[in-house]
Amino acid sequence: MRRGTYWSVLLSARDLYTQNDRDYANAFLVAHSANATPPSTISPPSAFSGGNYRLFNDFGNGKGAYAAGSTPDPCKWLNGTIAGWVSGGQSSKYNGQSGLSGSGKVYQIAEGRIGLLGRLGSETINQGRTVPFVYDIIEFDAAGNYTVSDHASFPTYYVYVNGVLHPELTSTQSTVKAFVTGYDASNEGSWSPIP
Amino acid sequence: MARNGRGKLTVLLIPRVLLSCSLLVGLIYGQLGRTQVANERTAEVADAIAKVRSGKFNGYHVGIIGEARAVEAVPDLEKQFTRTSEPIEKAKIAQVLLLLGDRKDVYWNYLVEAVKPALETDVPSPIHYDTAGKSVQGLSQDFVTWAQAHGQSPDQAGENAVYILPGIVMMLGSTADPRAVPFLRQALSSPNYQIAAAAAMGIAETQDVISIPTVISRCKDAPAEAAGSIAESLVYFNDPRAQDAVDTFVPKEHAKALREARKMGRGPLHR
Repeated sequence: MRRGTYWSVLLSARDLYTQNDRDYANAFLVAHSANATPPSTISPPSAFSGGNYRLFNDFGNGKGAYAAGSTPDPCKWLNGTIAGWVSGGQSSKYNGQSGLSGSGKVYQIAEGRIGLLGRLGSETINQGRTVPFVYDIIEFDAAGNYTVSDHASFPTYYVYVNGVLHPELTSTQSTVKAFVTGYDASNEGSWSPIP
Repeated sequence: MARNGRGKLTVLLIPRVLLSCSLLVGLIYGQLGRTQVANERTAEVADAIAKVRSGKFNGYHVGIIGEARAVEAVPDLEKQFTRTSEPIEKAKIAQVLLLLGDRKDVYWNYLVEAVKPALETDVPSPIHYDTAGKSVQGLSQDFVTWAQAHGQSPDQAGENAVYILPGIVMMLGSTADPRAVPFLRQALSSPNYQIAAAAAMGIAETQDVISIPTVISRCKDAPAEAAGSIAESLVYFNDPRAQDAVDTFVPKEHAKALREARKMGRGPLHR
């Protein structure tokens, strides 16, 4: 039987005894559910509907779009993403929130995490630890200058300006282990991504 | 450069591939000494009981309580069963309560209702097997056609068929409740080999020796790879018919690893 079913539905930590086992399982699942590398130019509406992302944040010109994406099936049995009964990615209460920051910038937040099946599996693998949210904030000052540096340390963030990729703004993601074990429980409590 | 609000920014978050590796075949118990594992487990069980009592728990903690047979947690689990609405976690609580000997109808009925979709026999196998009996990645065309004919997206139906329903069958088997055996035998005949293999594991968990010939017969009918998955359950029977079938249907090295893991305490549906 497949371990994904043991971990995500039976909620049994089968074959996971040491931290090395858990590290390996985390790394394996992330590596085998990676999205395709995005192109150098995009049409944001098409990219939005295409779904090749874990989180989508599009803001400017008085418009905004945001979404928590679905997760490709790491075991490759499904033709695409893990969706359906357990839905795609889970939006946080801050997903899509916009307003004026403390420093006077207009902002839009995107924040979400993996869907239920993935969360249950991750909790089983990581001894009950809750799956972190990931977030991104786009801000504009009064002169129209943007700030895109406020985001989680995982995964990789690709930044497009008017549909053109700016590689110098692509972030370097933390390790999977740092992402999983460095999680601050306040992410679901008193902490908020509001700038 | 975006100026005066005319610019438009888009940020895509995408995990990059961090490593390339073949599928792990077996993380077999034995990397730590048994005493060390036992000490860590004792602390983990105490923590799980406290978390369930506080209401700040998830399915993992319920599973730990079940594996430890920590019956002192029954009153708190009963309370959390009534409060939990998420279907998988609710089913997990029901399974553990039954395992711990709390055999109230409300828990049993919840699991039986959850497992009913897995017993439908008109659903084709979601996985296609080639002429050598090896699985082919992606959903089978028969299954995609069936899903569309029933107004379901293939992804949604596939997720149910490949992951959810086999897992619910495993939950029923994990109760070790003898009432599960007729349902498990029915699930064993499913055209979905994931469900059949899950049912076989449940039969092994309940140690229903009478079902051994039925499990072997199902292996004979199945593609080679699926037969191997179903036959894994037979490792857990001290019966020569079962052990012979393991040698017939399970690849040699994998059968050896499964038997060694069993010696170290691994069960059909528990670690």
